[in-house]
Amino acid sequence: MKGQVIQVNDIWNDDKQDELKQFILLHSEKQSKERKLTNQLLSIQYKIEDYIRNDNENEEILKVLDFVKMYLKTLDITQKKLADLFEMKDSNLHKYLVGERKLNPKLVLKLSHFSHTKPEYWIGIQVKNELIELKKENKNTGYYEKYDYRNLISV
Amino acid sequence: MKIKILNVNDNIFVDAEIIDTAQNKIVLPSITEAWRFNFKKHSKTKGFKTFVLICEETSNIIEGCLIFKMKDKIEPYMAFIEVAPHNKSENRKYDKVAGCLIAFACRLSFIHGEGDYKGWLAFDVLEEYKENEIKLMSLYSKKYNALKFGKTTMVIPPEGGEKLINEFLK
Repeated sequence: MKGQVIQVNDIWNDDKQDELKQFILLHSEKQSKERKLTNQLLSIQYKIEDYIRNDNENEEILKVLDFVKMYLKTLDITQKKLADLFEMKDSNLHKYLVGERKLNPKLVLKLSHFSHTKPEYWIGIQVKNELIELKKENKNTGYYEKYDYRNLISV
Repeated sequence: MKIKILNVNDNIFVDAEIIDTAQNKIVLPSITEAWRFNFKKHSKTKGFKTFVLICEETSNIIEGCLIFKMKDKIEPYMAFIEVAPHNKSENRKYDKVAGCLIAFACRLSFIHGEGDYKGWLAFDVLEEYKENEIKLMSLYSKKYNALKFGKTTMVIPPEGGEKLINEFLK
């Protein structure tokens, strides 16, 4: 191996892949139901963290609803059921989740406790999406120049 | 992702970042710069995601490098990981570079792993001399919660990965 650059393909083949699959499945079977659920929940949490943090202009816009749907799928409940659990009307909850209404502290805390995430994450998704909208609109700067106080009033 | 690594000389943590090279123009290291792996070349392989760890104050110096891939779109695999030559010896400049990169790969395995593979990170340990390989595998086992599988493969299970994420990335 001396002097050689190791290639992934040199150490990986179908047989090994099958054996590893068995190894992981065997260990995975030993994991408690709770642990398996934690794996899923952590996955969503890290996705939210990355969405809030990343500043990639080409990134797909994700609504609060998109992340809530991930939790609903993992926990195997419907959005209607969640609305019931949150003591809200389904249509009302939907308006908050798609961004038609701004999240309020009560709903943020419900989402936070439901998903075991920090309340800031949910506000963070909302703020990030507002900033994306702002950046988009800000490309149309020319239109807003007329709102400069010097163009509107005499001082 | 913002992280902190330890400046060994001053024994203080400094601000650092793990960057996705697909979104940033970065000249990657290779064997000509005394690195063991040719990241410049490997990063071009289809399906490989390359990340570098840099300090905020010296963003032109790469402290460590990682290549992550998804096998068959469901199995997370750490294809290459290396700390910069100046962080390897006893006189290394920074500590916790490897820990941060491994923890970062574990985090990726939670995000991208599918089904039973979610949170499981596999990788291979290959050294020129067998005794070094055994030592390194033992280190990965003790320090990074890895389980040995087969001759050269190791796997970090979700519990171990979560611990590393909390230890190195929080």
